[in-house]
Amino acid sequence: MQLMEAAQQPILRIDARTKFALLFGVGISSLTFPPFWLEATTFILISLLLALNKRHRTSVKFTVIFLIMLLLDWLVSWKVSGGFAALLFSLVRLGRLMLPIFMAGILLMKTTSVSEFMLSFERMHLPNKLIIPLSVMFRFIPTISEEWHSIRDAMRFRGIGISVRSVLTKPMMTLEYTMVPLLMSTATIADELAAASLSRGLDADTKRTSIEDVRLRPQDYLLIVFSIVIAVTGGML
Amino acid sequence: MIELKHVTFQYESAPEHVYSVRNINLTVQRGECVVLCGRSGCGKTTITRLINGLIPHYYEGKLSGHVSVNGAEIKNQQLSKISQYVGSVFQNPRSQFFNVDTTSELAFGCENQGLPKGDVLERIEEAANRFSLSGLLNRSIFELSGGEKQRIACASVYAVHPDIFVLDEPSSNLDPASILQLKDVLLKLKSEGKTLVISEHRLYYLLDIVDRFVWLDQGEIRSVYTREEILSFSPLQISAMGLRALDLNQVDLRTQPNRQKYSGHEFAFQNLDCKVSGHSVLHIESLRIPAGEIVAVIGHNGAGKSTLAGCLCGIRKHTGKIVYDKTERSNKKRLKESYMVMQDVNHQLFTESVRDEVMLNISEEQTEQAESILKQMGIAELANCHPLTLSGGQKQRVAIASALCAGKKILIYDEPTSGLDYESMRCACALIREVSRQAELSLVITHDLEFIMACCTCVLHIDHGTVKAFYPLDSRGKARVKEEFLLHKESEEEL
Repeated sequence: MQLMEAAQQPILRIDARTKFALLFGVGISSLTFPPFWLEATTFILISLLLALNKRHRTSVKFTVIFLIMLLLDWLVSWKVSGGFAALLFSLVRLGRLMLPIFMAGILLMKTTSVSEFMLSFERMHLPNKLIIPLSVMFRFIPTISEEWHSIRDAMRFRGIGISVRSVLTKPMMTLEYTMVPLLMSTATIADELAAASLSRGLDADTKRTSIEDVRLRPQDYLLIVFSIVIAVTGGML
Repeated sequence: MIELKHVTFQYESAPEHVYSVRNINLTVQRGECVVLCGRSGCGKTTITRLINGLIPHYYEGKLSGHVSVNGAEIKNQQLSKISQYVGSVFQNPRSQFFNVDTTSELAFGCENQGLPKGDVLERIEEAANRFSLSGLLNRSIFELSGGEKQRIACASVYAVHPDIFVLDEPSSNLDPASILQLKDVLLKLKSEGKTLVISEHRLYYLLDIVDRFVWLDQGEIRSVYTREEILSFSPLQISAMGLRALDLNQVDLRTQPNRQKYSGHEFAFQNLDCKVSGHSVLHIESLRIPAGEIVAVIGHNGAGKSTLAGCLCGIRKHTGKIVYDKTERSNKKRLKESYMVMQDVNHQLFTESVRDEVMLNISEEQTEQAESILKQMGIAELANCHPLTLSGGQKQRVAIASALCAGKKILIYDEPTSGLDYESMRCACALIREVSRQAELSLVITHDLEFIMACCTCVLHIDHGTVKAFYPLDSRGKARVKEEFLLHKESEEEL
């Protein structure tokens, strides 16, 4: 159908379930300190996936950070020695291992629509009682970031801006000044959102249909297998 | 057909004997358009909720009487069932979308009914054609303007094919051009024989659509007017009912001229340029604003009004200078001196009591001054209340009081009157005028012609990221801004 063809489909469609699998796989693998070749493979794979899902800029940004961290790692091991070097070394290494996890997270959150989430959860045979709140949670993330921007502006007008210093010197106060308005505004939005979606039949007893084309394709199976393998073998290599 | 018989409702959280609506009797025929109007809190939103079933299925409370739609009692049916023949559009575009992209949103209602995929796609296409939405499909909801969001909201309800549309203050977050888009949508719905129930206090855009106006006061239906009857009222009578002007052409007849007082100081913008990811979104060669003015900043959504405000108060990075009486004021200094009253005041209330709020970040010695400001703003008796328990207007006062206590000199208001009824709008006017005496500059971003006429002293028209015009609101200026609003409407209609 013409209308739907206009949709800018990503070059390589991957299912939300695959994205979940990748997030867990990469997470477990990274925390078990994989050898460098595996780390690099994972990194390249995920940045490719990001690029193929219209997230070129994110992909490039992370690649640059990754390369800088590699360079740092190399410089440190070559030029400096002693306790300080060891500390720096492990910090840089740890940071680098976190990168693929962030990227897999971005892949999941930023390239999946709410209805894809709902449908994928259904396919995972999660109960309806869980699917609706989970989907609403994903729906909420961009809203929170929108609210957060205006709250941060509001704080700056009052001279209680968020900075590294304010977080270190007055962590509780900073937390309070951010959380109170954030919770209040999101609570209102959540209430209105719930009313609006119920009034549109979200909790109907009939089985929901979907216009999304959600199914596991060959690339999904490959990626899921990859995720399982790196998660399981991570500690052994 | 909608029938309300002896309906009385009290929200669960409301104190005893405070009824939201009392003894409502109302019948709406198929294909009829009924507008519920009255002051804020008169019960019009409650009636819309009674019809779409959110009362009693979502908002709980004590309900008596009968509400039935097409002969079936609302309280005995599930919400999902009701949603098949009653569609609802809400006030706040940012919280009525379940999806984050437009096409999924159009499909949402149909998907919930379990319609087969082919049918859903057909209905999306139908709705998109009906409301000329093809340019809006597959877009992120967050990129759309308020007017576009309301069109998507109407279309996504339309896709379910309900006979009845219930709209709760659908225009309150819209600019004049978007209101006309909404009017178009409503006219189309009416011409298809849909029943419309609209709660609203801005009536001018509904005059061509409505069959009956139902005027509510304190939860009761006081009178029902036909279109002719309401048109025969004088502007004074209309505002006495708490309603907004029926005809934008008449708005200045009931306001006194604003006095200009030149203080001798001025703000000057020189070569100001602000970029967002490489594109210049605001460019001002040179602009001089006399200090002490209340400037209405007008222009389309996305014309650069908020960017201008952001640059002025120092939270947006820009090149070029902002000068006060020949001395440049740095971003940092301006940020210290300025304060923005946001559209959602909840974003800027941080503490546990009104007193703490105004005392935030000011020294102990200023306590007395803070108390006097609280008194002056008429919120001294609320000093120990939690800011979030207050009404919208009171919150606005607290925010302004905290700005005054912190010695802010540049005050910016972001659409302070959106969604306000006539009286609240006048209160906001009085407040802004009062406070402007202590400020060097008051800037009001607004789409509200009635408010501009009643409160502002100059108009700054921003268009396509630059200053289109800046003029004082004397009698010529008034004629000009009015023309601007009316012409601007026509040119919008051609689009």
